[in-house]
Amino acid sequence: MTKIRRDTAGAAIVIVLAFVVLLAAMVIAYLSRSSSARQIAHGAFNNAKSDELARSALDIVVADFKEEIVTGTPVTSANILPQRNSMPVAGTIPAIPNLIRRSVRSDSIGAPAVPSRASAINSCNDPSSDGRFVSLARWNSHYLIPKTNTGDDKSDPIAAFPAPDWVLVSRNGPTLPTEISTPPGAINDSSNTNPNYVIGRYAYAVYDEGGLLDFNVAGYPYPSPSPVSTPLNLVTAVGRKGSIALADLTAMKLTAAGTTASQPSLTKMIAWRNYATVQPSGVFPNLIPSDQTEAPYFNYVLGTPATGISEGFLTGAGTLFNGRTNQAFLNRRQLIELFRSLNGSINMLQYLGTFSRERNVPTWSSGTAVLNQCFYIGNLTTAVPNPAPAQTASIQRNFGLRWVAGSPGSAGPPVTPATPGHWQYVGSSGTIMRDRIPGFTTSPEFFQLLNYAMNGTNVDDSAHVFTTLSIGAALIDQYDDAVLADPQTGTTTTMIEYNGGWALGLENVDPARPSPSPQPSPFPGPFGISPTPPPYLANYAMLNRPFRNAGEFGYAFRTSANPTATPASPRTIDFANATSTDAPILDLFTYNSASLRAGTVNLNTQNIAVIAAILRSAITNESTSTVVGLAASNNAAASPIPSPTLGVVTDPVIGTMTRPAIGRQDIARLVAATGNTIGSTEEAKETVARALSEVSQTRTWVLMIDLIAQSGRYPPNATTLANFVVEGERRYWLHIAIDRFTGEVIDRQLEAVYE
Amino acid sequence: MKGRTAFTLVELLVSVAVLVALVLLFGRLFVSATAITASGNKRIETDRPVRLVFERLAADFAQMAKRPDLDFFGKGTAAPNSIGGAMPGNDRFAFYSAVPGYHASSSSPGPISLIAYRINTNTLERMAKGLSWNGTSSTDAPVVFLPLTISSTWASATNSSADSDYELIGPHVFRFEYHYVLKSGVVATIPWDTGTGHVTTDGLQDVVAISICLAALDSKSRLLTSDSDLNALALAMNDFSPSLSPGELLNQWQSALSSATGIPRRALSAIRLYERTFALSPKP
Repeated sequence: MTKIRRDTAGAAIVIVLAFVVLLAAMVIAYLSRSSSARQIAHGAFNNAKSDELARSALDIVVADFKEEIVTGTPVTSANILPQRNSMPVAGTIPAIPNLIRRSVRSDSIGAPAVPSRASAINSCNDPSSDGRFVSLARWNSHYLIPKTNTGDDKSDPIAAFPAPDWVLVSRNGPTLPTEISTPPGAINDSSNTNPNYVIGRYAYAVYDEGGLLDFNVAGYPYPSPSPVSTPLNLVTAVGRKGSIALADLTAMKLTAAGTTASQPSLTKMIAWRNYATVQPSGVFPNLIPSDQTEAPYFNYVLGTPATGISEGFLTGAGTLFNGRTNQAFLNRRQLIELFRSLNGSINMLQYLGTFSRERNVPTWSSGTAVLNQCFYIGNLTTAVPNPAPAQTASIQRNFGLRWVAGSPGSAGPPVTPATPGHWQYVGSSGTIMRDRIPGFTTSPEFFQLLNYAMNGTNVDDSAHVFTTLSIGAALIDQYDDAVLADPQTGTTTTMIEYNGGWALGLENVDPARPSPSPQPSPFPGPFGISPTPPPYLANYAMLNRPFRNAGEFGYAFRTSANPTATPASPRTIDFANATSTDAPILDLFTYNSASLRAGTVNLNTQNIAVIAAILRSAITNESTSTVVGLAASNNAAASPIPSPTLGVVTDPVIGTMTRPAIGRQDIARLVAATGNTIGSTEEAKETVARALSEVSQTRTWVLMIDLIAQSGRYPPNATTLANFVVEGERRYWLHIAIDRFTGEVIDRQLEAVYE
Repeated sequence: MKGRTAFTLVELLVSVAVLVALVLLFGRLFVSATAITASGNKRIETDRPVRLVFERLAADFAQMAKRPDLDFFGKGTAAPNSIGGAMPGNDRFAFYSAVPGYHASSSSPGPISLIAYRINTNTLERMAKGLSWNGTSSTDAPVVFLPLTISSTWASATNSSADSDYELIGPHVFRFEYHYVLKSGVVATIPWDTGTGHVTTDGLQDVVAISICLAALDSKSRLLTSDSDLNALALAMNDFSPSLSPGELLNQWQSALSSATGIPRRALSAIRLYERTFALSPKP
């Protein structure tokens, strides 16, 4: 009996224990699941928190730049560029040309810049409590810093790059503690009333993306397979420049040994990018453009006919080939991946960007003029003899000219000469001939703008009416062909009548010119014409084609106020002297009428390879089509010293490193800085002006802000600033364009970086 | 025998009563605990995947490619973009993003993917179609720019047709609705600001954020209802209207749940509603 009762009691215990175990298992499972869900939720929360922190930090960095702009007025050479927190030595190329600033402890950056507020904790050398740090290779995953080993694809930067320091963020915003301190009020005191409690940190570096070639536009396909000699049309299409698409990327030195990018490699990339335009054969990565003269490409980037474009290159061409479109780099990561896929040299990435913006607005100003756009050079196509009635309104608006038909002369007696068809200068409104260049405030016509540029006045100007109209007429004659002529007298020379006299252009081929210097003869009639076309000038290069850039205005005859005998070497508009009064022309006229455009380069770039790419292959002599070759390269192994490229950037007195350019008008100074390195003639020297004037800008800060933010906290037992506990992390590359003159953020592109 | 007296009847009755009371008490406690646990489990089962959906959406939006010449298909989009229209009922969208995707057999995978979200048979599907580099293949399309659109190139990204690149990302989600938050602060069902004179998507230049509302039901509760009833319920839950103030849509959805018929209350009470806003970093 006792035995039976003992068994029963044992069974009861087993059953009870089983229930207890079951219940415990259920409770543990539930708690485990809840805990796991809580951890996931916590992780998601920290991700969201670090994202918010990163975006806020970016706002702070951008606000600092905007404050620098606001404080830095008026704009001068000293503040046209963002200050660097490691100022390079004048006349020398910095080790990291793209780096503008980074968050750094004891930031001694010069005014008007705002110091970075960083604490004495380095993002690389001071690991957090859990051992996390940001390696130097990670800081250079964008490859904007020169690589320490140019022989591999790793991103380890050169030793000159110190990793940024952390900026601590408390509940009150960025803070600058020197120690943990003790509660209350310590940075690790989490009590609700403590505003000093640190909730995260960020570190950043800022790069001059505007000083790079925007690879969404820059570069052109090379004939492939390369012919023995480059076709002449390719030489001239590239050599006359006028678009960053015509930068010769083979000029850029990629390694210390002097290697450069190969033409076939670049061609493949352009064929991928401008696929529908160049219509390549083959399959990626071996795409080969179908037209070895590359005419479709040049038509796209220069316009058809090549008189100007309105394309800001912010969108694609809209054309199709094989059911495919042109491509664009959607972010920097894609650019890096393309180089990997095509086995392109990773070293080239330090010269290339994917984001550039510029409002096509002059920076040079004088008097009370307010200009909100440059004058579109393509308007000159309408200024032709005997224009169609439909064009007369726009001609008057753009040039202040009205066409007057010619009249035949009489054999007499008395003999009267024929009056050629000609222009009358009446201003942009009205019908009465002017005796002066009218004043203006906004929207000047061609001659008003020319007068404004050369004489610095926007008020009524009777003193320069003759010279301004004459130079404008010479420009028109350079721009038009040698065939278009007045139907009455056959003269091809542009003649402008104003109240007080005549202003004449200059054509070296004018059938109406009297013997003995006709070019060609004969004189068109027995009665002559009045006024008579000016004489033929030797050594005067006639383009007789549309200008590709404002630099080509330098070909136009510049008459003096009191014309003398025909000069042996005709004086032309001067872009070759540092003190030239003609220089503002470079800033006021444009080939591209887009109000907002991509593809311009910061004229003050410290990346000499970029300047080299722009200069290389530029034509130095229009009649012989000689081009700038290796002389433009920054490749010391292949280029003579001094080179024009080095002159532009590093001339110790007038180069951009010493005296940053404020506007494109300063290009004349940079021409002077190159000396005779391209040639001794004015035409050769002004190659620099022709190459730079359309593709450079100074008014926009185009920056890439590389920022890493970490949410987290200092634990109660933290003893040093390095004891930060990281709970979440976010990295962004913010591409941003800020107008230096207005502070306006023109455009921005936020690129999330996942590694 | 003298010491072995039996329990009296009263003792037995009292002990049985106490026993019954204890059983009832523990039974109720057990039932309550079970109900709470079940409810918690359902909540976890719903919250967890929805949180993953939101994280996935956040990553997709963070790396979204926006250009004026790049298509975005969504509510209210119109030519030259893919036509999105009003999207009554569940919404969908498709766009390009620099996130990983499933690549076709192409040997040249690019870094950009086509991302699409849609509700299909009362579940949320996501497509991440990895795109090849341009010029790789005549069949595998790369990123295409306008005038080519997403709908003309990958129709399945904009409709209900099958595509093997779709994967089930929200098995509990049966209602998917979103609206745009514009730079002006206005909430809208078209992705541009008519107040500024804009008439096209233009790279979502006016959109500062997309606010997404979801309704989800855990798998056990789904067994209590049918697909058709759930579908009917989804249709009864209002579309977003620009006249609604923030949070009002979820209130309307809650009202729709309260007045719904045809679905057991136990299932209705398990439906959870979510809203999250994703910043898009628009143009200045």
